[in-house]
Amino acid sequence: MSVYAINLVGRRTLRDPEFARRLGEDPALALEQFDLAPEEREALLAGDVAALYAMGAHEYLLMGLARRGVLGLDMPTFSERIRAAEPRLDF
Amino acid sequence: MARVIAGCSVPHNPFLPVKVKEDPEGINARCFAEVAEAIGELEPDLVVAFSPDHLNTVFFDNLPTLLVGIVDEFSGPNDDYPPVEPRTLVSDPDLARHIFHQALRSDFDLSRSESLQVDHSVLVPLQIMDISPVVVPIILNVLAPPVMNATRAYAFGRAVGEAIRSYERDLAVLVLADGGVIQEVAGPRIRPGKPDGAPGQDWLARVIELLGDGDVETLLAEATPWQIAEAGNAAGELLTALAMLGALGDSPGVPRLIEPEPETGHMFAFWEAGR
Repeated sequence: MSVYAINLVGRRTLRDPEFARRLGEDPALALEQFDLAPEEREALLAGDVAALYAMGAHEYLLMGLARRGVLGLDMPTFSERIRAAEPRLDF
Repeated sequence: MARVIAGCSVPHNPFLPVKVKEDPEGINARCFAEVAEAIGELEPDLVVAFSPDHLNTVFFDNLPTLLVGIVDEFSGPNDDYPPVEPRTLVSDPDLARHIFHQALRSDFDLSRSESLQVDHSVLVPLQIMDISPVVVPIILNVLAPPVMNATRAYAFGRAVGEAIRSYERDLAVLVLADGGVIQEVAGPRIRPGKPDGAPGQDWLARVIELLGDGDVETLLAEATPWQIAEAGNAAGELLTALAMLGALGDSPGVPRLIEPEPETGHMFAFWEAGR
């Protein structure tokens, strides 16, 4: 698992408009540069934020994907999907 | 010598600037006005701010628990929330360096940044209150678990307060904490169709009750990591308030203002030192 790479995708999407554009145009190609496990890549391409959250990705960075409207996510979709996840209750 | 004259805890939700404008009679507008009025009366020379970062300024490649900005000025927001106006704040690198050094001597191993941008955190309350004070920024990791204990945050604040009081220039310092008390942001416990939720309403009421009584000791005992996690993924922001209270000195006493805002899960509070 390389949760770091999932988080990095979220960070780059929010902070780098050029990357966000490429992720929007060709998600599979834009994700090639990241060291993602196959199931992580699959969940990202599906916009499955509940699965990514369950893998340990930080929800703030996942919301960054929805804020930029990539990977099939917008805020309503994000909200609906993340609400289906089991809260992690990290402390 | 420098003095800590007052402390406040205010929210920083990035949509608050809109909310305050749309509802000028609402609790947020009213309480921000009260805090701004108190600050105006006391005329602090400088603000030392205890703020969270939402994984914008720092990231998992290098994530300090405690960070002080030692900068002439700093800018933000770096997280692109349109309601938050871009601004550059003047800082005081000499005091910041003194805090860094004295905190180290008090066994708090801070990180330091000599080139800093911040996210919406501290900028939102300053924007709403329409003030541009000199600000020494201190960032606490309270949003990327695991986070420090409540007791440690309070002790850190004590060390910062002692550092301020040992600073040779004659400065009246306001310590400011920004953040909520209970809140879920972007996690499973958000409200349908919203980016946030406010689980843990009992905890918010309890925090208000204890702080209203000036009972920080009981609050520190009850603010366990588990309790905070139960109150939402952003409930760790209470630690910024605990650090601020530590910086106020021996006993924060009864606040001049303390009011919960249950919808978003934050509070407004203001203490004058030594009262």
